[in-house]
Amino acid sequence: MSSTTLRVATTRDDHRIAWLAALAIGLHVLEAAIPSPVPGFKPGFANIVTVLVLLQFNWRSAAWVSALRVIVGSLILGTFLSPTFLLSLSGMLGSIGILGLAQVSRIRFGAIGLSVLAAMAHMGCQFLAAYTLFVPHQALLLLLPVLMTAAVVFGIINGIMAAMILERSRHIS
Amino acid sequence: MHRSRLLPPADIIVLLVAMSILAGLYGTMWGGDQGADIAIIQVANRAPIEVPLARDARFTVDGHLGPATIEINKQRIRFAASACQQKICIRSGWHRHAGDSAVCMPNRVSAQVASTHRHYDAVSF
Repeated sequence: MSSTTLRVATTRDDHRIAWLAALAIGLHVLEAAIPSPVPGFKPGFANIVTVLVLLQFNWRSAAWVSALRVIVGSLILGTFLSPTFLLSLSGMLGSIGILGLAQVSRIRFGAIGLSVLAAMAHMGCQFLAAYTLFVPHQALLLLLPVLMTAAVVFGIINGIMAAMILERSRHIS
Repeated sequence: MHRSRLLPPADIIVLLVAMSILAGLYGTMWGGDQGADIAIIQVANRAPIEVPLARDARFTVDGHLGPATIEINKQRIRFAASACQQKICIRSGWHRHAGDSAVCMPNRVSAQVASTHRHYDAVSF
């Protein structure tokens, strides 16, 4: 009997995506440990990774890193296919969607602009999903302005962090 | 760090748009009444009464403990008087957003602001 080894050919891109996704997943899981005053308020530090990947590499890598983060992050936290996962997934699709549009538009956005765009789209889609799928109650709409404010604030903070990381990495390389 | 590199013109536009979206959201979600046009008054074990919010009114219903006076004023609703002890229902003040409600547990009376366009009777978890 001969044993066969299954080999999957991987590219440099695959390895890079895997490393960056691991970083994003780490932040995602770490963040889940932080207690949140109201469901929906999360700093979204993993977004920093997405923005950095988009600026340093390309949209395709950013989409891969985000998708892997949502799926693997939920597997680690035990929320895979749960409502939390669906909200996370819809938010991810929203943010990666708007980042794609930003890329296609050829406008030169900086880290802060991209981070704010992604955070708002994330919150918007997540809210839409929560409203249509889980809590179709008008009172939920009252929470939207507050949630959006949090999204913008965290978007700016994450954007500044992404900009600082970019600045440092320029000095290194 | 150069200011221009941290905040390119496109980012300033994004921030301005974000701010105006926020202002718009606060205006529409907190300022408007979201189509609230009726008040639903419920007394335990009796059919709910629906009252239009358009006309100012003041009326009394008989609760479990005694009379409760409910007032409609400028599309808002409140408990003006109640036979209960703690008056939590009265102190909750005016309600004007669809979905808002004032409940008097001891007297078993509730007043809810609602929209005739609502799709659900209740949502439970």
